[in-house]
Amino acid sequence: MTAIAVDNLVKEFGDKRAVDGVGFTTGESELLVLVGPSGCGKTTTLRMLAGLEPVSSGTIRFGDREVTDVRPRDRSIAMVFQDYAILPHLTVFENIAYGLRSRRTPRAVVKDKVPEAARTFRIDHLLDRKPRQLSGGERQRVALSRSMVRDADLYLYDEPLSNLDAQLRYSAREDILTLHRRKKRPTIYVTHDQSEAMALGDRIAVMNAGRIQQIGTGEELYERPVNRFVAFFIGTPSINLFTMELKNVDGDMVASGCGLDLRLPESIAHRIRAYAGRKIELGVRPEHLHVPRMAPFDVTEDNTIHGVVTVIEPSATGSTVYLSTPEEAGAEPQDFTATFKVRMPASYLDQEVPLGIDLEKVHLFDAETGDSLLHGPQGKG
Amino acid sequence: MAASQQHTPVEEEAPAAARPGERETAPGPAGGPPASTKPGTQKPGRRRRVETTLFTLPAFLFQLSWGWYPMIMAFVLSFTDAALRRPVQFTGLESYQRIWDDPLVAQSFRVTAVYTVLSITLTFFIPIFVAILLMEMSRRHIRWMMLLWFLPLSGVASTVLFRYMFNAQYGLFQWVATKVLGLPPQPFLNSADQVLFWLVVPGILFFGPGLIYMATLQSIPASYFEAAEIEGAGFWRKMWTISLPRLRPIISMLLIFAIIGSTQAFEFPTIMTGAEGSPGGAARTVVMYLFQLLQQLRYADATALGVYLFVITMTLVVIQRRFFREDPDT
Repeated sequence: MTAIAVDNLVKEFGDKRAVDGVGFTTGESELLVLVGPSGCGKTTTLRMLAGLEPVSSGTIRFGDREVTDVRPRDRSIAMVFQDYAILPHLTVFENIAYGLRSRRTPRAVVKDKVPEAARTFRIDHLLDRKPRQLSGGERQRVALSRSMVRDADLYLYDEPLSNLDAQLRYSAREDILTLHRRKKRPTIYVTHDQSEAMALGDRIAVMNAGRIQQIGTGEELYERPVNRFVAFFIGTPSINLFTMELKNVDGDMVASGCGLDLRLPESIAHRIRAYAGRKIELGVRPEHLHVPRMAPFDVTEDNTIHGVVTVIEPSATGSTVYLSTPEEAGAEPQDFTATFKVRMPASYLDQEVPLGIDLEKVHLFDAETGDSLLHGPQGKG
Repeated sequence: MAASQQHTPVEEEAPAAARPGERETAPGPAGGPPASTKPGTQKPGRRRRVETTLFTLPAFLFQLSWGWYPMIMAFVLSFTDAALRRPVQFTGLESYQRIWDDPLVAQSFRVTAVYTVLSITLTFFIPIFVAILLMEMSRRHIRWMMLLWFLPLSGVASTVLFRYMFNAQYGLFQWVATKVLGLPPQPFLNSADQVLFWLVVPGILFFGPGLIYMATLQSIPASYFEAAEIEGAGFWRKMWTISLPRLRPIISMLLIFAIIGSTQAFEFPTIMTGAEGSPGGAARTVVMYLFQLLQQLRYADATALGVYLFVITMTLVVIQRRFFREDPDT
């Protein structure tokens, strides 16, 4: 019955606040991912959960037990480090058994548990080797096995995949999920890679500047970001942002700027009438830009953006196209990105193309605060 | 900013994948980093060979004229009478026999042995544990302690200072013994039984491997200790499973230096106790006796004694290497 409850956690280094009032709770077998750019405080938060970093203020509870000032070894946690932290002078077996031996586990149990954990991660044939003789992926699985043999109340991961190459990352994700499903324990996973966060997390907490910006499922974060940062951070390629002004034109809400006049559909317009006359940022995800004849909606003057194709990047499933608004549009040219499910022929390069914007799916942010005009801060939208 | 974040993994991989290829195709320019080219895959150019020779020549000549030549000459000399004014005569093992029978030689070897054992147990192992303990302190304290340990002190000056401290009448140690601890006056360096112990004591403070240990300890990735802590290891277990194994190669190297240093102890005991190693030669090490022989112009005997010492030191080093096998995993 150990779920994790973190309340108003603060970490100060000198007069800099690395973590500034972080709070969240996790379910009993939930995998929560902390994601954010480097320096956002996600690793510091994780280290405070582990007890490796003293807390400046705030509380950490594992179930009924408050552990804020408890030593790491008494917290009942298991952790996988970015550099795996396996000892080079010990064999794989001894590395996996390290925690069991520290806790005076009977020999027979160690002899049982270690090979079993190693088998789960396909390294049971390497038990007598030294880490030097292992590949990066195998070393990582040693670290996972070391967590596997433990029965901890909380499992922590500090960017465990960042030292692996792309191919291995996928299988390593599977291994991490295997471990999580076996243990059915709260797990906190730190990464800077939002696609990894999407793939692993039951819920994701996006952090920036020491604060949690939004917590929710990947879908929630993607479709209902509460601010510009979350919208920009989640999704590749990133969302396109256009600085515009909201106008009330005969009862219709029109966003104009960057040479565009976009008539917003009623589903959005009725929530933002109060914003008429103010500066906003309009966010359009690259996949919500469509070639007019393939668009699932009518493309008219009111939802079209023109762009000059600068780069066409083919991918396995289609293409990513980088465009720039034409110069004669009466404003500074602005770069934007579109993704298509089809290959765009190279002949379009340097051509001006019209693209339809799926206005039902745009995001609007206050130009000053960056807060979403459509979705509340609780992520319930 | 966020966009660049998302791209970093991809960007990191590309150069990493390209690097091995580069290494094979790009011919290493002369003077390029030799570490990055595989040994044996290419022959060093003519220019390289000339450079290598030129760079090593001074060191080679120096070693030859000040290292190997005297050593070989000493070895040769020990089999002669090493006479100064008339032609040198081959005398075989005569000098060795004479040195072997000399009771003062036996005494000096006993003194050196005791001195070596004492100084290695007291001044060599203690700093290891002190360094490990210091690493548990805060960063600020660690920095201060390293500074204190690293203070460049003149060897002779601190030695002379210690002579005053050990002075039986007005020395600091005597004051501590009589006034602070309330003991009867102590003989310190004047006691044949205690002199070697007191000679070693300053080394606890001034023999500097502590700094090297701390530097090595600081180079151990912090995540090792953190992982151990999370896995439930206490102070002793962390020391036993991380600090000491990681220090092993350094301990091994410094132990060799310590053995060589203490079997050849000369300056410190000489300054502290005089050339005779008083009282009664109780502090006269082998090298001190060797120096005495030289002053008596007994060159053949002195070189023979030197050869004995060389053989013993060499044996100790070989034994030490046996015990401390080099481990590629540390």
